[in-house]
Amino acid sequence: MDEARTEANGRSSAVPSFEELVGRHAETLYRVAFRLTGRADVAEDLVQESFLDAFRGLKQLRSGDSAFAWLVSILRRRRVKWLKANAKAPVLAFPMVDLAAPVPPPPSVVDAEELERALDRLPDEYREPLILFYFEDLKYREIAEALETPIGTVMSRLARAKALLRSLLVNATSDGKSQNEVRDGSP
Amino acid sequence: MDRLDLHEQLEVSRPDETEVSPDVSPQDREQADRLGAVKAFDAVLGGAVRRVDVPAGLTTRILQATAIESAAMTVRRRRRVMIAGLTSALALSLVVGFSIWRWPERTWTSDLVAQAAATHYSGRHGIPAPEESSPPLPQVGVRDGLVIGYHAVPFLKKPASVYRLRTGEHEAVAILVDAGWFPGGFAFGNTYVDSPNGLLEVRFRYVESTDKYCILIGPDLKPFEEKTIIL
Repeated sequence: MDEARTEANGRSSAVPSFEELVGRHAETLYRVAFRLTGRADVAEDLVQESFLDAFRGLKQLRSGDSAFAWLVSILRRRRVKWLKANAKAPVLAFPMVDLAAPVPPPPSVVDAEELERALDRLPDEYREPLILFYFEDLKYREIAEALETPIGTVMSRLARAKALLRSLLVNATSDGKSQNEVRDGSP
Repeated sequence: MDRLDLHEQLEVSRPDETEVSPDVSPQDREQADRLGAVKAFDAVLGGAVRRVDVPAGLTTRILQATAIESAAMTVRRRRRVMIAGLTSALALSLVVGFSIWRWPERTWTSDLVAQAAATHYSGRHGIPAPEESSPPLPQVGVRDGLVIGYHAVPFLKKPASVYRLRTGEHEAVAILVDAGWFPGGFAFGNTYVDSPNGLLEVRFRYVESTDKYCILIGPDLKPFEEKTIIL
């Protein structure tokens, strides 16, 4: 029966039970929430509240395919409330990004704190599609659905977000190296 | 993809989403290199972004919180049903109550009865002529010519017999109602009422044989004194 419901992409198209929904998506949703807020306690609260909202509105879920995108849209609404309640102003400015700049070689290791700082400097409109892009292999259509934004806008923002994050991380890495070099007395 | 420039397309390129694949020429070495560099960076960055420790027992806590909410929802639903039921019952009671509500009847007073009698006097021309079966005005039976009209209509919402009387050029109306409708302490003395027909005299006479009161009303009741025993 379950196999019959499973489509080629491995996802069930039937509407899952709430327990299945939690089992499948709770951890990923937590990771997304953590990357969006940067705080473990807030992320857990938001995920719990989002699942409670999902439980109350489970009838709205039309198919298993769109379950994660649906949960993300609930999480976003919860996050907006949290941002308002905590008077945490999201980054609104859209930094200039040179998309034609050469792509640097990736660092061997990405420092978790540097990544957090870099993500925190991204405007919401950039950060959200970027995080969803790296999680769950969501298709662009699903990301657009979750963000309630046209797909073209999502892709355009994603392209800029990636280039911006790259430049922030590369600059942070080179600054760190320079500081270490000064500390070591190296030229 | 039409709205995206080449660099944007290279950033968002995904092999499994052909509809959004970039129009990159495989022969273009520069584009291929850039695409490769983007993918390499993505691989490292994606891994770092996904690397988030999930607190132990998260799923269990979510399910526990949901179980509590579920119970609360049940209570709220029951409360709503109960409130809806009570509201419906109250609304129904009000509808039924209003539909059967009757204002309490006004207490009969001398003035009230005189006014009502005056109304009947004004409408005396509508009283049909008596028939064979019409009950006689008590103690007036032998004086047939006196009664020129009769009908049984309510008087102050109570059953009554209304007679139109005439003697010569004088007219009057006699109304017979059960004595029981008059409250204790009712002033049965003669009285007058001002009406569109001028000042009308009202007299009350008890008819012992039927336990009724005869209310007589007219502008001048003296001519009837001689012709009716009850007066």
